[in-house]
Amino acid sequence: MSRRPGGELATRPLHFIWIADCSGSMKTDGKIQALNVAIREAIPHMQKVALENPNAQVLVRALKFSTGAQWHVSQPTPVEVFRWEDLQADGVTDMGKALEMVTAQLKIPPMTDRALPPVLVLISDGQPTDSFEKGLRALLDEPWGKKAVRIAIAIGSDADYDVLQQFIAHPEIKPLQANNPESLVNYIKWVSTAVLKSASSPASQATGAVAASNVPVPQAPTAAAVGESGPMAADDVW
Amino acid sequence: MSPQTAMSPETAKPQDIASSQPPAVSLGWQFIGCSVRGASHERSCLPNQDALYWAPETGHGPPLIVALADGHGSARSFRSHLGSSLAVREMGGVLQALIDFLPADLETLSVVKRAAEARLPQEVVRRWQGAVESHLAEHPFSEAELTRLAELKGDSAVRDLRAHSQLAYGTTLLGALLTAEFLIFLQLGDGDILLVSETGEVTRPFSRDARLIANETTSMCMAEAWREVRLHFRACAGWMPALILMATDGYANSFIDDDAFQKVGSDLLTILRTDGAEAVETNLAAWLREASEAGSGDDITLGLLFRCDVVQGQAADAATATSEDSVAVVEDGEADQPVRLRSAAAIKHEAPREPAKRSRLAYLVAAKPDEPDAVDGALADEGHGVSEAAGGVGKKTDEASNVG
Repeated sequence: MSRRPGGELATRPLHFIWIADCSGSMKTDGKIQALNVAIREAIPHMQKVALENPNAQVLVRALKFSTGAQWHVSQPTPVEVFRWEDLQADGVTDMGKALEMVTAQLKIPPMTDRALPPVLVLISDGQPTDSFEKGLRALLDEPWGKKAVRIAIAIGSDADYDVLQQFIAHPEIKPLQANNPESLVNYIKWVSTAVLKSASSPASQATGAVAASNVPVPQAPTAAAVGESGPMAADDVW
Repeated sequence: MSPQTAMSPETAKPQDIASSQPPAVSLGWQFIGCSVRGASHERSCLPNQDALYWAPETGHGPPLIVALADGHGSARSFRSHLGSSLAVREMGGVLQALIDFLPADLETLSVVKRAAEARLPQEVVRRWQGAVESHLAEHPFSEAELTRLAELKGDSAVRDLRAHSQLAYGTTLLGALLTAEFLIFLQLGDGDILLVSETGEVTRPFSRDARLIANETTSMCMAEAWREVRLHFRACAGWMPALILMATDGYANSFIDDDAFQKVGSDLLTILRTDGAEAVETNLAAWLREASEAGSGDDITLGLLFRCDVVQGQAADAATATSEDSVAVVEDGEADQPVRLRSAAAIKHEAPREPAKRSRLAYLVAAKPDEPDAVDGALADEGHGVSEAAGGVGKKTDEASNVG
């Protein structure tokens, strides 16, 4: 048999980026601890989903923002070997800076045009203290930023729901509201499994044919399903 | 002129045959192609949504026509495997019609180029839309299809579909027409066409479309899709590629970068030279499966057009060969195995078919873009309907597929 023509084969990269609020308010009521637990518990589920689609290479990173922003896991790390180091909370909420740093990583290069749509998960309990609009505009001006699957999780009632909705920039996808550790764990798990699965095997579709996202974002779990008991429920701690 | 300069789509101009270098009229060409179901489609029990067409069935020319298409596969495009089959068939028909009405005494290719640019994009889209409407009339959306769509995408998706039924058939489309005098390439949506020189240099007739990332693509189902059709025309006089490679995007997406993908072109040329066309035919399906499994997971369709004089032991055969005038058809029953064309050594081919009168081409050129039926009328007057010229759809694949 003749040798196979062409260079090195490779599965398509799928960049999954946690964008975590580490401002001082995340220290209260155990929010940052709950977030660390939720992401750590989600990793095996992410690995399982990745195994089910061997044609996508899931690469995970994490960015934290408080006073400024900083990569918590800077290298795109294969999900099989991804480990979670606990985040610490302190400072203000420079969300705009975080979006600018993510944007820089979504340019081509370092991104390639053969990648699968990246997944960006923004988690916050408060209101931006810097120019969120500038960061968001930069993100949405970048082709991969615009095409990314953008999910937002609001921790507690003080989170700026409108800002998170602007980040999502999709009328049919709403921020997820986590008011207790249980619901945060469940939302993180949903993002790590259902959303990841959908993003890792999207079908082609016509540009602009429909208003929907280029990746079919699965239906988010209901509040009750993730442990939310409704507004001002007794078990809401945030 | 360097190959790179010669292949620039914007600068390439048709040349007067009489005043140019001897054209490559005497060169025989051969087609080999294959379509494999993607690894991820196998896992999820989805059909191969690509389609492949070539004519004549022997795969020898010139003239040669190749078309391939990649059905979108999204939940909204649940009939895209049919849409792709219809697209390649209509592309084949439109290109065949162009051949049929070429004048015998081509003095300048400018006329052909103008006709192609003015007519082909509109024609192929219009005919695909007509074919889709005909299919829909015979096979309206079933309750099961609509229920499934609503479950997956919500009621709004069903409303979108009712307003724009062609969404269900969405597909990309690539086409190539090779004659003794000129080459035409057409592209709508993603996919790749590579031209490989005798020295193995790889160029593209079309630059990459930066809009086409994240699995989004321009599509036959878009409003005014013909505006998105890109066309490249070039005369065969002067520089000619040794090998032309056409592929759906599942192939390029299986390589780590574009350099690794483009290496397919130069490697295939080497294999053709050292091992012959039969080696490529024999191994093609396995190569594409390996690429899908280790790469994108997507369906992969590859069409190769190569000059017989670059293939070991085939130059002599090419000079004396004759061909059969038919299109390739692969029935469902044959679809379990990759279908191979007969080897060049076993097939003979002939000079291009006798062209029609020059007046027909003049009519083609005269027809305005907003008068698409004018061309049909001209063809019908001659008793050469384009759809008749196409004769059928070729789907050379290792997977079950059909055209409803």
